[in-house]
Amino acid sequence: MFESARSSFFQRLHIYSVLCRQVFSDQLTHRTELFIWAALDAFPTIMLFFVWTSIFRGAETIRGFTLPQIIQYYFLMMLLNNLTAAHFEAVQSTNIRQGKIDLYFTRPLSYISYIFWTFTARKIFYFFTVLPISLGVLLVLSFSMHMTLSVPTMNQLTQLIPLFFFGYLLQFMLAMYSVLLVFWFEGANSLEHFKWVMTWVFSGAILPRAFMPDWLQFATDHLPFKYIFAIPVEVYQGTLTLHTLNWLEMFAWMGVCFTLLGALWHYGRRKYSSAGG
Amino acid sequence: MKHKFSTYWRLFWHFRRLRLMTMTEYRGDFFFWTCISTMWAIINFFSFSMLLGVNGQIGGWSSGEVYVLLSVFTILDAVIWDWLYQNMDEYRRLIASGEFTFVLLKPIRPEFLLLCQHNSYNNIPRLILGIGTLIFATKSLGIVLTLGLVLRFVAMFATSVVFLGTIWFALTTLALWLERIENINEIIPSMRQLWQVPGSVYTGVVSTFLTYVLPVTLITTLPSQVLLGNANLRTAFSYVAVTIVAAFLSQRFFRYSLTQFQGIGG
Repeated sequence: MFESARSSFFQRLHIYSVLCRQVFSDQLTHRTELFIWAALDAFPTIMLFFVWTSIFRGAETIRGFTLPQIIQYYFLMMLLNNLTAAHFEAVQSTNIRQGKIDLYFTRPLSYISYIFWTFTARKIFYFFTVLPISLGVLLVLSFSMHMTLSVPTMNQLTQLIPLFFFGYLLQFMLAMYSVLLVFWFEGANSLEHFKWVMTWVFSGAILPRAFMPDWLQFATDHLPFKYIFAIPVEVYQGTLTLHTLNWLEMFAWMGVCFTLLGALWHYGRRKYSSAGG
Repeated sequence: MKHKFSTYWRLFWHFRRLRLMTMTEYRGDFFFWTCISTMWAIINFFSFSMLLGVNGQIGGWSSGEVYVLLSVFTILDAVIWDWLYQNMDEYRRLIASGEFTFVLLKPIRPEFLLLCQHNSYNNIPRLILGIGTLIFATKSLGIVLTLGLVLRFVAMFATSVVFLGTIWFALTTLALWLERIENINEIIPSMRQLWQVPGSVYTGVVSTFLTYVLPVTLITTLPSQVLLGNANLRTAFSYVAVTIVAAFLSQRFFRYSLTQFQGIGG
């Protein structure tokens, strides 16, 4: 029994590694596109750097933040966004609509696992693509705006690593919801825009929580999106330490999200039909 | 082959009717994308209202002035997504698939077909929202919208549209020279963030680059300044001159690049 479990584990590992290799070779073929995406993703943050610099003209601190701290906030947000944001919705919902997912019902790899591992492989590759660009931006920011990045303490690391994986999984599952809803609604691929809006408004991407109006801060505090950007950056900046309640909240949200994903896939499959020809 | 202006005029409106028919055919799609474009426009105003909430100014522009600029940005966004994006995306697709040959074979100027054949109507609510907020913002600043002022604004706005169309057209034409790049058409839409804020926000080398080398910050700043009555006449004339030169060069570049096209997609 132990032997069979071990061979099954290695079989799966082999499948995932083949999948990753395929993604890497595909990404290498389209490396120019990847560099363009990496550069384009930086535009909103560059604009925000300048906007905040202009807001801070003549002020040392605003609501407890200095300019280098605000710049650091948006720089880290940009990094997290590059490493966790999912963009596979349009392609995958088209695949479902056009009946191209039949093969995953017969292969020893589920459709969701396939998307997850290709998404992960793409992110790993993307990380190495954006790394030199991010280092360049960091260098420019440290010279022009006196922004620094310190090495996190062990206590911070034990909070930041789970937070990163939580944000990563959350972004993946939010993207999967808009993909799987295609089983019911034809225009569901446009739902990815709702995901972006929710993430943009309630994750701390526009403003740090300290600058939010009361009603928005209340909504942000009661939704899971804050764990994608605001909370990890606050933990890194030393303005927040996670408590038991935060961990419980994260686990609860993860449970809800996984259950919803499972239910959507379970009932969605029953709606699916395709025909060759 | 030379054609009269009336031929192009008739064709222009014929294309618009065709797109209207497509829109009525896919009503659900139209409804959904209309909602999404309106939602993004609202989120945009909302985001800036929060940034303005910090100390009431951005780049030395007061709240009211920033709302004028955001309204201009929203109107321009409607033009970008409903007209320029549709045509440039089709241009890129035609080059990649090799179907560009059919454009060249038509007895009409290819530039006209590439720039006018496609459009959508999904952003009409965004356009109305932009015009509405522009009227509201100017009124709240005590600006009287005389015919002369509106005409000057329209002229400057049209210059911005032509400038944007020109650089986008030249950028997409690069697809005739380069390897297949799917996201070449996403460069301009992603750069929109740069002209979402007043030009005075940018400082140093970036400001010089975005004002004199690639004057994208002027795209919304100048039309807004015309309405606010503080536009620099010399900058405005230079911008118009640069746009005319850029349009001419872009057309020449297109004609020269046609020699690169071999009619093979991939």
